[in-house]
Amino acid sequence: MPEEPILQGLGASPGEARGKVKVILSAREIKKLEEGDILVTVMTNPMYVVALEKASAIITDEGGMLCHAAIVAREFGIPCVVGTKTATKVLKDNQEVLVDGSEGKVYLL
Amino acid sequence: MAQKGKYICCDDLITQLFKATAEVIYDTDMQHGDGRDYWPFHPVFLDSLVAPYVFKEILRLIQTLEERDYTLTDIARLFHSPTKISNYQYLWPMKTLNSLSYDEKYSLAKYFVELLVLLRNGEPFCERRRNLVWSREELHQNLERLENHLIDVKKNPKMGELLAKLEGLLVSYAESIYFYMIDLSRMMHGPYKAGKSKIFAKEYLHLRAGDLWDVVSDFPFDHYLEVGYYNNIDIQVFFMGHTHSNPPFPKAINKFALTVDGKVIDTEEELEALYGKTKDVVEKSAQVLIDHSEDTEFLMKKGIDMFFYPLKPLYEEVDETWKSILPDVYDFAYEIKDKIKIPGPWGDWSKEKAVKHLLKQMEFR
Repeated sequence: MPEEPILQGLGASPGEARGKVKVILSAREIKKLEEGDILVTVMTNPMYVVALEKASAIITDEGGMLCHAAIVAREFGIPCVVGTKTATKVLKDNQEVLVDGSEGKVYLL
Repeated sequence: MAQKGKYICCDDLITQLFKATAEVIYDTDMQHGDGRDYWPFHPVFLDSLVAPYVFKEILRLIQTLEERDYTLTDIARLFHSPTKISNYQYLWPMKTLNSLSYDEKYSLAKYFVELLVLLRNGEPFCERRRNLVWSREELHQNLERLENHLIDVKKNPKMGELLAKLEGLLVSYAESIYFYMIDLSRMMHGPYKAGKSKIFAKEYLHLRAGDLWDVVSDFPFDHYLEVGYYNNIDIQVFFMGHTHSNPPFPKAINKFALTVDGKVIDTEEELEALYGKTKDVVEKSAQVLIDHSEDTEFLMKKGIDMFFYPLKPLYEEVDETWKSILPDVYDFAYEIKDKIKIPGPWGDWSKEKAVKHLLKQMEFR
């Protein structure tokens, strides 16, 4: 694991997951997310439900422990890092990352 | 005509109600990007449109039931969920409530407090971060009823996975129907103690809401109840129903029992079929939302309706339809919608300062 995380946010659902980043900026883009991908977005809402079911982890720019992404992630049991402020700008599609939902850190692999 | 101070016995509890409400509003705003990024509307927008109508209707319905000799316990039973009642408290800071009289506001606050005390077994504001909806006796009865239908997740990991997927879907589904007022439907309750285990119940109401939104009329069930047994988990439930668990529920669940509309689901085939049917409707409703994501009128009307639909059991009890009030609310909404000012983010306000500000907005005594 790289020593320095590329992003730091709030660990909203513990656990670790590795996968390819898919930056989704609107619900119309959710089709590009495939099973096991890491969903990166500003904040989720119910229109993202199809993507949420396939994602192996969630990273958001905004939100806290009780936001939609955090609640859904804890129900699905997948790692989630919220409130990174810049994930949708820093991360690019198909980058391989490790999401640490316990510490709220994201590492580039 | 009531005078100020008439209901002194309730004053302390009403003060606690407002304090709990103000704290949750601040916390929730901060959880959603400091109040800037709610889907699909900022709560102040929709709450302002409906507040006077929702409160007057709740008061009228309760008073009509009381005139018909219903006790407060009977009325509490019709609401069923204290979380639903606590969610209506979001409306208190709305300026549009100015049209309610002192007496109306006092009676409402008093009813809300009394109903929460009744339904939450003595901890009306989730003071200890738990939502104790079942009394010790009810817990015992429910556990006994479900005892023979418990699924051991270690022996049936596939069923544990299906349950997690189903409950993940339900969160998004409830939000697609009730927007940010998800807890008008969802009631997370517990944690309760049972021997060495913690018991936590996840309950959803009003899911087959075809009367509210035709897209979901074929949702496979209306009422969902899952009772889970956990070890080594920290669970906190907040006043308005938001819940935090560490670790996530699927990582700590040992056993569960599931019923939908009272029917027990205890085989993998049944759970798989239920998940499949649920997924179909959830994905269909999500697609309709995507297609209407720019349709403000559709979203606004749906946003107004969702406040009244959960009161349907009370309307039906007094032989009325929940829809009859809607034309008046739409008219009011169109009249004032452009005048509503969405407050800016809290910025560097401390929680203490924000709570004080919200309490000033709510206080009428």
